[in-house]
Amino acid sequence: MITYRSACLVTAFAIAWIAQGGVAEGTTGPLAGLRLLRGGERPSTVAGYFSASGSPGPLLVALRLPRVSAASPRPRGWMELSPAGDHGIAIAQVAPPEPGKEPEAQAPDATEPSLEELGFEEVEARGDEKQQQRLNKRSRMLKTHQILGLVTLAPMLGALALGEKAGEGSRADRNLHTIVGTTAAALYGATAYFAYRAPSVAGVKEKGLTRTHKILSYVHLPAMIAAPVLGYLAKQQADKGERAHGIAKYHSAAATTAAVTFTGAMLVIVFDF
Amino acid sequence: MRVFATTLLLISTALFASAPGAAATTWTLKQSKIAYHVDHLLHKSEGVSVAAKGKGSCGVGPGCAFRIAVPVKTFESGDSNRDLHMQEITRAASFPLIDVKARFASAPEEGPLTVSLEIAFAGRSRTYGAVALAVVSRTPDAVTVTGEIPLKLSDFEVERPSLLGVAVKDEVALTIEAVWEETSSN
Repeated sequence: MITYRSACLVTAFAIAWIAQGGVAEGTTGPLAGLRLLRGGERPSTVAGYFSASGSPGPLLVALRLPRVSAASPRPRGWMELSPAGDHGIAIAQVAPPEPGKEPEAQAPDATEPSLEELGFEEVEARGDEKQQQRLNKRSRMLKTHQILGLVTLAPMLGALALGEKAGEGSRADRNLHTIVGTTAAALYGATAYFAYRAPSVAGVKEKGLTRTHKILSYVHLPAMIAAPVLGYLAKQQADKGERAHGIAKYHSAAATTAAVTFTGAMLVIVFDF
Repeated sequence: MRVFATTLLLISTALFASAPGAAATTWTLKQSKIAYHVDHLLHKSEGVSVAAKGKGSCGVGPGCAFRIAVPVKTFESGDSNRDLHMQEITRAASFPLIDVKARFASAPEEGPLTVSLEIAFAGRSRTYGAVALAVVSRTPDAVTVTGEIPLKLSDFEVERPSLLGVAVKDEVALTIEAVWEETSSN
């Protein structure tokens, strides 16, 4: 019956007050300054309104009491407080009073403004599940982009390292360089796919290191397209025993540009410069 | 019963007399800067929002009750991708606002201020019993409050973002600078 015995003791003051004629019948007002005093704990405040439904008589209040434990629900709503026994108060949850008779709208959170009062429109506080799914998908795809980018870096730098030897070396050296380079190109394509297919978010302007990351892609993407094509031409020429000539001689420059800017694009995301 | 009632009345009167904020005052958030601070092995970053809205009152109910809300998407860290990722992990589209309800004993005066905070964020709610803030300046019609709320991402079941397989620290301090204007008093 008395879950908040000592707390109610304080609330009982108001009842006593009414009983003593301190509040006229029908009066309503805030439960200002009342504090719940539970054994061993610091006081908690009680928000609510009282309504003297009869004098003397039970006090009808809308209040929100602290939880007994984190797991239990917070008791709130309209409750009737009545003297019980010699030392206590009975709290009984009751139906709200008739509309218009009590200040129900202002009851438990009377002192806390609503979001509307703060200036937020309803649409600003409302969730948008579709947008959340879009954000989730975007994040997933960019995470894959990040992982694939890291994986791509290995064959890309490997192909660069093998490139010098491939130009002057044996057919086997060139084949190895071709395999590693092709692997890098394929992984690069997959990396790029996840970046470009990730859903964009309307109204968001790219800025910061993300913008730098994207600008660098305008360099490494064409370089990465050109490098395998030029590499194919250079290999054909080398297989014929010729030195790379024509546009094929730019294979090395294109591949180096791609590798350097791709690495740079990754580093700007990883480190703050 | 009569003795009991009289005793209650006496204590009650004392309580009412000592109740803080007997004169009701209302406050409106004039300007604010709220920032989160994320710590990663390779990065330290912060996101700032100046778009919070808030109101509060003292003396209307018991003690003072303030409420501040800020749209999650208004936090800017200087990097759009990081901001969008933050919105994703904090479920900002589903729960667009960080809603903070603050309760404390009496109208703010210059000096330390201990508040009880109920923070609703990312679809979860958490109460911080005694957060130490500071009123750094108090003029007749405004107060400036600063402080730090020691949030943890795990408190709100927010997955810690990671970069190169390394997750950020669970502790994400939320710093607040807020100028409150007293809008009415009676």
